[in-house]
Amino acid sequence: MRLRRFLPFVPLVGAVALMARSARSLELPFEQTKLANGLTVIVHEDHLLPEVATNLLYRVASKDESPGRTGFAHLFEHLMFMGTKRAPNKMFDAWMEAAGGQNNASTSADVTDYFESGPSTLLPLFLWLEADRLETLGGEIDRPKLDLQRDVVRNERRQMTENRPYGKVELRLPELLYPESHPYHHPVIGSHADLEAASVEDVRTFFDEHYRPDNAALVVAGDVRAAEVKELAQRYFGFIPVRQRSAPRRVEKTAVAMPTLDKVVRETLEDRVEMTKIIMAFHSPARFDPGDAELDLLASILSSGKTSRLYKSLVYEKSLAQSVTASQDSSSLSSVFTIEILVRPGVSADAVEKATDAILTQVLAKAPSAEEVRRAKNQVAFQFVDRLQSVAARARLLNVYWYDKGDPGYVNKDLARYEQANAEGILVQAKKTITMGGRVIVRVVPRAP
Amino acid sequence: MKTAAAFLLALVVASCGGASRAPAPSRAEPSAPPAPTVAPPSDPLGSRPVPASAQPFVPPAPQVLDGPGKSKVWLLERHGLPLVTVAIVVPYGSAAEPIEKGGLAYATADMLDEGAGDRDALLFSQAINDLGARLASSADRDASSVSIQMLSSKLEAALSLLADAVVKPRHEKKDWSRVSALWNNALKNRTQEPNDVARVVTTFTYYGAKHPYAHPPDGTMASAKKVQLPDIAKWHKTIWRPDAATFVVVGDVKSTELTALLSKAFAAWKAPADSAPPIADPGPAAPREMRSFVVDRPEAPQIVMSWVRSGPRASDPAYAPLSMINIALGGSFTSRLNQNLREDHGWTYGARSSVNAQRSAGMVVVRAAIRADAIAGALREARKEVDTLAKEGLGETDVEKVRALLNGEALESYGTVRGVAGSLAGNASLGLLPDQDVRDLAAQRSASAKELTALATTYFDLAATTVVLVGPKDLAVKALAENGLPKPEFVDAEGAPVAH
Repeated sequence: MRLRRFLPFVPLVGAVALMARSARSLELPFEQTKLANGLTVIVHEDHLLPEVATNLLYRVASKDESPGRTGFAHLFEHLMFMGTKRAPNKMFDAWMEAAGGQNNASTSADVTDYFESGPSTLLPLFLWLEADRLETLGGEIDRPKLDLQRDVVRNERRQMTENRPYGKVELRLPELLYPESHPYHHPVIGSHADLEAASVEDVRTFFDEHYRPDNAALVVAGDVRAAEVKELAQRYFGFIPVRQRSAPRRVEKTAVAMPTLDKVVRETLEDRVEMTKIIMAFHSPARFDPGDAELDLLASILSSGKTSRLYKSLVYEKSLAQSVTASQDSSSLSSVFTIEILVRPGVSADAVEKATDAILTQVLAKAPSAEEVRRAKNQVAFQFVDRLQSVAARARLLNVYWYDKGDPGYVNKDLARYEQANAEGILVQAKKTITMGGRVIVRVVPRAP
Repeated sequence: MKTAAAFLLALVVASCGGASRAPAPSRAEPSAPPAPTVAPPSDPLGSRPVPASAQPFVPPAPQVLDGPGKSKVWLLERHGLPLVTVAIVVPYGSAAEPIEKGGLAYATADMLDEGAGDRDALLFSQAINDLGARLASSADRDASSVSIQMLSSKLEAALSLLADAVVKPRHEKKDWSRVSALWNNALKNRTQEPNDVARVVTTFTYYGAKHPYAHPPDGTMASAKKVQLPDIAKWHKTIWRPDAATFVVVGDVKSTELTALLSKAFAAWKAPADSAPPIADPGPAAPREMRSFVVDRPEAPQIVMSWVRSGPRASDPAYAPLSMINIALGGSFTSRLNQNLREDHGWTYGARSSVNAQRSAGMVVVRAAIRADAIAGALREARKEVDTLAKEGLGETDVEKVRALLNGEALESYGTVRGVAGSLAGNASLGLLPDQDVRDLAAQRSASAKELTALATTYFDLAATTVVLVGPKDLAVKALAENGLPKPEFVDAEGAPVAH
């Protein structure tokens, strides 16, 4: 995920009023409506504190980029803050901060979302600013604006990947995992060359095609009344036309085959690091698809806590590794199950790989114990509640459910995926995903002095 | 994501660099609203709505209770979600440890969960995970802390584990051997992370090697090798004592229930007969002339630029209003530094400033990662922004914006269990009051533009600043010269001099 802003400025507005009798039963009440122009509006009321959070999600992201324009969706996200006739450059932020609000945006492989938060009196301003740029921004971008944000984005690439230890993996892994024709083949941040090639015409075309009310959903969460929000949404967004009649060219899940790997793809990268890192990556089911929850639990069984399989063996007992993490990195088309091992100085990477494979072979031979599964589920139960603390987080979650499942009310079905998972199901999915003969293995090694 | 990172920074008291105190909340005073955008008659969007002044948010102050072993308990009940966070803070951090054993407080905190009570390191970790809880421990310059977060249904069991960690850590040799090796490796890794290097070197060179605040709380590669298990056992006994401790508890628990649970879980934690050791108050860095330092990272695409000068102690009445000035300079997206270096020039992904909150004299820091070949311009513009602020101070519009932002940030901070716990634990670690946030709010509410301008002149004068650049040395040296800054001293990733 790429953020427009330098991380310290990401807003963290939150309240604690989600109804929860326990981690096993969550209620995330909402009302949903759709404007005549196709904009979906979702409202979640929470009156604990006088605050509001908005999340406007567009169904466009790096997977939808044209050849030779990698990184464009994220660059465009930056351009959305560069001003319009009604809100000239810099005023979007200036007006918002003057009233005590904050905002940011993020682009992933699947979606782009724009979010604001602050005292609840700011809601009309938030909606007015978002509606203004949804209506007019495409025609407002000129070469100087494009050049400036191009520079900022290229600095973001330098800071977050090129000048950060092991950061280059983020750039290279997608290219190794996915064939060139796959929408996930390139990293979200894009290449310097493609960013340089982006033109003002590209901006206008992209805007007209994707930034339209029938391609978006607005969530408003916090100290608001649903009826009032619907009236405000109609007032500010209702008049915005769909500029193009044809549907946006969007990569749909049904059109993309589940990628596979039938061999071990290896690559070694040199970087300014002290220790070698091994990254193993496997193709895995998409977010919310069967097997996705089982792999979250498997990741916990492998690397969460000292008694987890990989940590216990590689770090605790054999002193081969400095750290190990396993994660199911879920996306909408398909996901990646990743294992990262930081190799201790003086230890052979080959030896670590061999030891890791031995553990994985054991994992594939027998279902995890009931105790391991229970432990993993308990950790998920806490994380599930913990991540819902702020209204901003809830606003985004409602939009993720809307985008991926077409159902903002998916929260309990989401939780049920984990409750219903069992040891046998985890083993079945592990066998499908942890394919020793079909994976990417990247090593990042200290570069020669 | 940031949520987690920010929480850890605030709650467990970050391992390196004086963690900024959580932004203090402020009441947004009624102010003249900005003029609405006047829409042409045909504009279907209509005029820009001008928000009514937000209701001033006044954060609740925690209850203060007596805890086990003469400790104090700060409790803020929150019953919306079934979550509780419990933190224990003792006011002894790296400033209190022997400099040659830098990292002792950090390592002592690290060893708390490496086996405790009846459980060895594996079983202890397993017990935490069985609850689905999260335990974290660390030390910064002024305090050591440990915290645990869990579903409220697991509170009793979690407190029992927390008590074992604090009162009965096992300090076994085999565990220390492993932890020590991991720690030393991590310090080696730190030398390759340019932002970490900037943080470590900036503080070390600013305070000077002999100052108790100079060394990083997680130690240096040399000092970590000198810390041994007996040191840790002794240090644990010295500083982890209940009569010096503050429990910070936020979440879904009632005071009567909490008091009983703490008494039961921590029954074995008794205040020693001797008095608690004095709390370190090392005073300010020795005054000196402006200096420049360069850490060479050949071919790096960016140079991390830092300017640092002295700031007030966290308990100084100037701290709260000074944090307002900081927001205007580099504490929000529309701040002067970020607008100039990022939005006007495109040299960086973000520029910011901070006023570090420390028990003794703190630091004012300006920092940004700059495209390497743009560093000369960035030094010039950053200096210009700070000098302008020092000379002209803040206008009424600046002050109104900052007040509004602080009001929003107070809502943010007090909107989540982790936000409140982080803020309160930060205050406890600095020896501040349970209702410090309310007091700061009052100070910020009453600060006038004139008073803030006087403070800006005092604390943003860069005449005695230290400049640190981490990146390709040729570009760094040239940029310093172009800006008339002192010829640099070359140092390694921990601030020690190296031959040029």
